[in-house]
Amino acid sequence: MDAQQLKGHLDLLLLASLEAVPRYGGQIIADVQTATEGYFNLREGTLYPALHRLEKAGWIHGEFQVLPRGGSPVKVYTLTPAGHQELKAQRNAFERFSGAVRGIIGGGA
Amino acid sequence: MNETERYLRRATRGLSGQARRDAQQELRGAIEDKVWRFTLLGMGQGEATQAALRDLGSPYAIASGLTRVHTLPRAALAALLATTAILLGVQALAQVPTVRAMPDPEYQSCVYDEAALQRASVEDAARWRLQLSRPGGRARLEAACRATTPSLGNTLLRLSDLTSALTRAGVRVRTPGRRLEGFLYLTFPGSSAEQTLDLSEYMREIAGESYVQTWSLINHLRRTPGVPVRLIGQVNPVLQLGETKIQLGTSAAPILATNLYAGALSDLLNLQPLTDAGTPLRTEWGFDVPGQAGSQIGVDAPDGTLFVVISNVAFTGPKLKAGAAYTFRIRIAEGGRITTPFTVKSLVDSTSGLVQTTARRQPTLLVYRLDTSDLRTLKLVPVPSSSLRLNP
Repeated sequence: MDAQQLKGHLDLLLLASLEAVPRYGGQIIADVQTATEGYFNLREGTLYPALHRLEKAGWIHGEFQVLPRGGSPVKVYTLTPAGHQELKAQRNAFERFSGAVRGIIGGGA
Repeated sequence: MNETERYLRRATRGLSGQARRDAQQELRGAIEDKVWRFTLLGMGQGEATQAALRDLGSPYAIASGLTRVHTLPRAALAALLATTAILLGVQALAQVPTVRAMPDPEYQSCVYDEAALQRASVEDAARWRLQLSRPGGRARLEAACRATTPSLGNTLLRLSDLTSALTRAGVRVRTPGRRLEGFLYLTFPGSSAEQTLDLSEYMREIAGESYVQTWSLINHLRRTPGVPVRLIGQVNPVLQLGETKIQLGTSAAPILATNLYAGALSDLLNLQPLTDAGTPLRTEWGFDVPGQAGSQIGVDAPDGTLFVVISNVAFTGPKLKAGAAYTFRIRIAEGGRITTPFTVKSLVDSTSGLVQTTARRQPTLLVYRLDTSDLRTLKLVPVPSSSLRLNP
């Protein structure tokens, strides 16, 4: 993983990973890794501050839930309506950006 | 304390109160989740815990990220230091007991010692090591760092100094002993009530001495009932608690009052945000980057009057950043004007004006006077725009 590349898209990745279903930190790390075939390997030191930032921005909402296996509760994050809007906006922006880059470097679709 | 709890404490250093408890709970859940997964792979409990903590990485990396989100501002203090230095009014304080200060090594930027390299990400540490190995590399690296990220200043107070300064100033101080270090039970002169001051959450052990954070002290005192809290002076201010006076900072390791006010204001705005038509506005303490010079504002106020300047710069750039917030700076009037690091074409005098101008993506500033007569009731006093002049 290239840290710089991840930086610019971290919020979009996190918002997108919460689009369909609420998830907790460990699941988000696993999901992002699986969905990108290991290209992005999120670390906790990056993930939790980013989640807290998104929560402060009002885009996600965290709630403690006890898992079926018991033990300490985990904090499960849900995308808020404002988060859905933000995801849409960031997704559009990313698509315009990557389209523009493809226009210059050629190849691909 | 077991290994997990020790990790949790380290990973949430710099946070306080509910934010800290929540972050610890969240990380505890995350650690247990990992431990559970590892035990499914056949590891024993102890081995799985070790592996989970290793997998989570440096607790200091997590703490530094979380602290940045929850408490610390984005950029820096050097320009503020520069502008306040000219106002340095040294006070006659011989009789006032003094509390020594030092920078927090966990936040101190631009020092590339082994501890800092250990705290950094693997990529950063590798890059720094390469630069440090070159002739003159350290000086270049430090200079480049200082140009963009000035230090936070001296943010730690020596606890033993604080205890003895309070005692010498006439306060009866009871400490519950080592196990509850950071707790002070105070009885102020002329009062029979004992107040509890819990400074344990920001405790740091450095070279065998315990230190507490300046903001933690001020913000806990603000919540202590019965005792008015004031700061007198701009550099190494005298902290006045009722009739009790102690001085914070020394000329060798100075403390700026503006820095303490900003921490208190941050705390206030977190609890009671500014609002526009009932909608809370997100504000953050913004730090100056050296060399930035922007608009000046003419004010009808004597030298030394404190103002709060709220900027919408985070919303007016070409790209809206995630989690953008209005940022505030504290400024001191001098010669009928305050300086700002922002270039604006207009000023507003209300939050609705700020929000409307922001909607048009025009940079603007909202100016308040800061009433610091009692930090418990720190107040933002609106300033009519008719009494402000842009670039006088």
